[in-house]
Amino acid sequence: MTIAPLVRRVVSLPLLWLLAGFLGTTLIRFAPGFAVDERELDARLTADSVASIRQERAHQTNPVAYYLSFTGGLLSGDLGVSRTLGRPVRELLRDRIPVTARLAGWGLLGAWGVALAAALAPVAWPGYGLRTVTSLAGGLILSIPAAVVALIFLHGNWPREAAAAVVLFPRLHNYCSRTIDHVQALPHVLLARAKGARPVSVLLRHILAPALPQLIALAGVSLSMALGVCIPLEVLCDVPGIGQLAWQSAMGRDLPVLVSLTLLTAAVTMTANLAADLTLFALGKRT
Amino acid sequence: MSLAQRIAWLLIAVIVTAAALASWIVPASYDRQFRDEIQAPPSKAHPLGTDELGRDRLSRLLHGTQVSLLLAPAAAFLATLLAALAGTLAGWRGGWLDHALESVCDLTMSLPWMFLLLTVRAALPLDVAPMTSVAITFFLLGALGWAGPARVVRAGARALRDSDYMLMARAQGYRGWRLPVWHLLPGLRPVLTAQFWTSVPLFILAEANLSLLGLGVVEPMPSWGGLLKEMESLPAIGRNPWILAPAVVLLMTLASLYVLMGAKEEEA
Amino acid sequence: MIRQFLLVAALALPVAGEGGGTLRLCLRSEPRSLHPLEAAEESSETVRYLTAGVLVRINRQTQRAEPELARSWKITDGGRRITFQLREGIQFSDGSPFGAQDVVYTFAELASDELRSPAADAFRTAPGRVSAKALSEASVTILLPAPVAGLERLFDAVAILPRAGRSLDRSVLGPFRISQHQPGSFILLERNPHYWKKDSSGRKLPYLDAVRLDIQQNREIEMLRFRRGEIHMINKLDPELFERLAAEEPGSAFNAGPSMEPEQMWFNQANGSPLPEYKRAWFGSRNFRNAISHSIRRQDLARIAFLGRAAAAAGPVSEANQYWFNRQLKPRQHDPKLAKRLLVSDGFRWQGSKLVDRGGHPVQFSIITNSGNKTRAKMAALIQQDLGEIGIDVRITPLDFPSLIERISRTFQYDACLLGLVNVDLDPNGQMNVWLSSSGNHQWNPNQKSPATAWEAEIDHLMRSQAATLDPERRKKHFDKVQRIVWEQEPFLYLVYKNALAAAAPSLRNFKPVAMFPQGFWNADQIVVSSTVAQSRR
Repeated sequence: MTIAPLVRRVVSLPLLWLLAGFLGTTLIRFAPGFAVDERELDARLTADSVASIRQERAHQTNPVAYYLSFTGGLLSGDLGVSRTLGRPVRELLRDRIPVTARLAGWGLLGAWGVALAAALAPVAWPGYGLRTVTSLAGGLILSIPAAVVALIFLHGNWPREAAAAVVLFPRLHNYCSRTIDHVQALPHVLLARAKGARPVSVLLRHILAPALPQLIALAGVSLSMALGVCIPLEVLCDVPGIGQLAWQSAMGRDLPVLVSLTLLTAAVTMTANLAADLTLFALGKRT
Repeated sequence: MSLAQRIAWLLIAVIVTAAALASWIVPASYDRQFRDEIQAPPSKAHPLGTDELGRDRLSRLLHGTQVSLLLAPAAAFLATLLAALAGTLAGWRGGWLDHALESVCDLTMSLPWMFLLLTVRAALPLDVAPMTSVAITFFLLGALGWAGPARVVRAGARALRDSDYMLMARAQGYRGWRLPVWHLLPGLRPVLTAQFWTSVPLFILAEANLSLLGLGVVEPMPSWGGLLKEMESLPAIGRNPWILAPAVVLLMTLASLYVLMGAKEEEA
Repeated sequence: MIRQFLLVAALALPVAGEGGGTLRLCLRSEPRSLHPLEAAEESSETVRYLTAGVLVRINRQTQRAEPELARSWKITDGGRRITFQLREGIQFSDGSPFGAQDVVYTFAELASDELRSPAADAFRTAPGRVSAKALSEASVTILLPAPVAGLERLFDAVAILPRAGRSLDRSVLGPFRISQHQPGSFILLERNPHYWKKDSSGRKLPYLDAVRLDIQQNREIEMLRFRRGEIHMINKLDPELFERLAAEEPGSAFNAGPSMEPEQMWFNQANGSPLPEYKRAWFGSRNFRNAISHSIRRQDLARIAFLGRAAAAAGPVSEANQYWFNRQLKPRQHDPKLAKRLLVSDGFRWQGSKLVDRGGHPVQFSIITNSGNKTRAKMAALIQQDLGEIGIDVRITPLDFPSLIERISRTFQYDACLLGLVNVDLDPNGQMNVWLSSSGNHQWNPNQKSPATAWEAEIDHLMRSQAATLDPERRKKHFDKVQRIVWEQEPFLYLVYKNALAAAAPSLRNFKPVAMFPQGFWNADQIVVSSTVAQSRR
């Protein structure tokens, strides 16, 4: 693998990021209910007031013009003001990003730990039906709505980070365990074992190493998975994080917040994927 | 055939037969409201009791199976296929194609697709036939769920492309499209099957969430997703444990399919 | 013996020197604005109710206007002018004195063109502005652009602000003031040390030291927290949760009877709608609407969807509205024979079990409703089956709220809609925009240039007449007639009024929930959280 494609990628990333913001703006703008406001149904308001509420959206109707002015503001760190919450978007993000980062971070850490352990344990101790047990557990969790998992944790008064880990676990576990199972059945592993290599060495050098590219790519992807999982968890548990904000502003068609969140998600996704690629590149060079 | 596989076959056979013969097994239609038997416990007339509107739970479960068991795997297959195509193409060919597919992946994973779904709903007529709405919903789920897995596939494809194994294949004279199809895809199967198995239950549940946007299965038609969502009133489960029946059937189905597919893989 | 002692201690109000505790409850959403004049939805109005002082307060129990910051008032100029005598010696929470200048300042703010809120719009009944003038330090006169019947009631929603130059956050006249606000999480209110009210024994109100409002959207979790003793009160409890609580802790479940919140359904009769001609003909026919109404089992809606915690509805006014409810109207009964007769008289007939119209079009329509409301989803499914029985094919489409609003107010792409349009105001003037055919909130056919039907013209006339007279009895007569016409024509099919359900911990004293907002804490300045009971419960 040469460095040129990677360089090209790093250079084009900011453009792609801006494009994501623009496409997001367009999607939101042309979704039904964009121009409406719940207050219009309030019979206590006069026709003039309703007209002026409708007017508040006028500057957002042209997505190109809006996005240009938004990116203009972005340069000076101004993300606009949320319509539904009446606060600067920057403030909202500042308050909420740490909350979600904690939830998603611990959730990912826990999920990865358990998923890797569940994938490797049957390799270390084959013949105890461990694979069946972990797969069934994963299947069970996948068959339960994330909301129900969250509710169970609330009832038990357990940390919601653990709920995030539980919801994320089966989404990672399936990939991990299948990849590792596949690798461990390959001839070189059998050969290493036959040669009498130590189990730890087999595990690290002959099983994990070949599986690493896919696991690293999965690690990059799992970050956006975690963001996705945060939405139902935060909405249900009333955690004032990014996921809850995303849902509320989607329901209010709050354009400045939604565009900012799209850019944030894009930044996280693209950085994570790029980081995964860079790691792979570094690994590729070494071996 | 092992005992586990026999049991799995039996379970699948029972579930599929029961779903196919639903209206014959349970005389009560899935939408018939027995208004004097709200939330009734299991009885001879209603083996799984009735729901909040007095509808027969067993009948709803079996009819829901028809929809979900057909369409969720179809959507999962679509997503897997797209991931396989995009991932192998990107990983195998490299160059500008890789770059372009990477970018599309990144975009697909970043955009707020919910608004596209809302737009689709707005474009459909309000009285669209329930089955059409369900089919469109699952198609959208499949068409949007490929990007993440495609990246994992790509990483695998890339590693395989550069491996000694491929060098050998090339040396043996394999060229052109045969190389990826015959040699790359088998190596990527673990990722693809994982993607498929994870997607089936996730899509079943996602369908129920899309009903919040007016897409998917609508009243009075049942779906597994809708039935599973009933679990959300957690304390009610204590009094009506049969609310869990759909989750149990789904788990049994998944486990059986898993056992059978696992067997296939070992044979292969 | 000990138990008896606890009981006695619990019943007593706090003695001097002892605090009244912290009342904890939940808001369902983050308030849109904490500025009391801008309050427009329930969360903001809750904060306003607890913190703001008003000139006149509508007693939530008697539903009558009572003097508050104003000692008395007098309406003159045919209902255009109101002159208040203010109470003297009252202070804002920061200790500064309250006087006529504060009222003048408040009304100057209220008249500002930028302010778009229900409180401000109530005074914008005609072109021109509301103005206030201080006659003395304790007397102020307010002049409106046009006469308003029941004028004094409007002042219940007008929070008196401190005159220019003083901090709005710190200077309030209500029982509590905001001490901490963590957006998205909670609002902490502390007692206003300068609150002017005293109880009958001369003790300063409020009894409570603080009120903590946690922002909590999920009702299941709210209930869970209530059961754990983390919150003391739940307002507007869902029937399902109420039933569960009533079964497990009967002493904590309170039912204040029918609320003012109707569930209603209407057919799209909008002029600009893209509906085919034959559907317009159905929806425009009184017989058709009445037939649908007679095919719906309202009792089942109340019994099944609301678990019996709702009452069948007759018309636009709830029986909870003591003065304005027209007692002669009764809910329409389920009567399929009558329904069929009405349909036949409009040329409908049955092909097999399916109903078709004169032109042979099968009668099929969709009902849109907002998604995520479980009770409403159940109602829709019940209505679907009820109408199926007379051969009508109904499709239910839940939509997210913005999509729904767009359809009912912009594109008019819908057949029928199931929703609850709440009348917050007791007075018919608060419903003016619903009934006037020219209004945007005349949901079934909004923004008419001239009334589309004779009966809508008559409603227009009656609503204007009731607003033009100050005589309550004549107003009542006119409005009774409006209710009668709505009952006959059924532009809205009123289905049920849900009950005002609440939960209160045994540690709460003076908890007297009512049907009207803010249900459980309308007497917040007299509520006590008794620590004795709270401890004995754990």
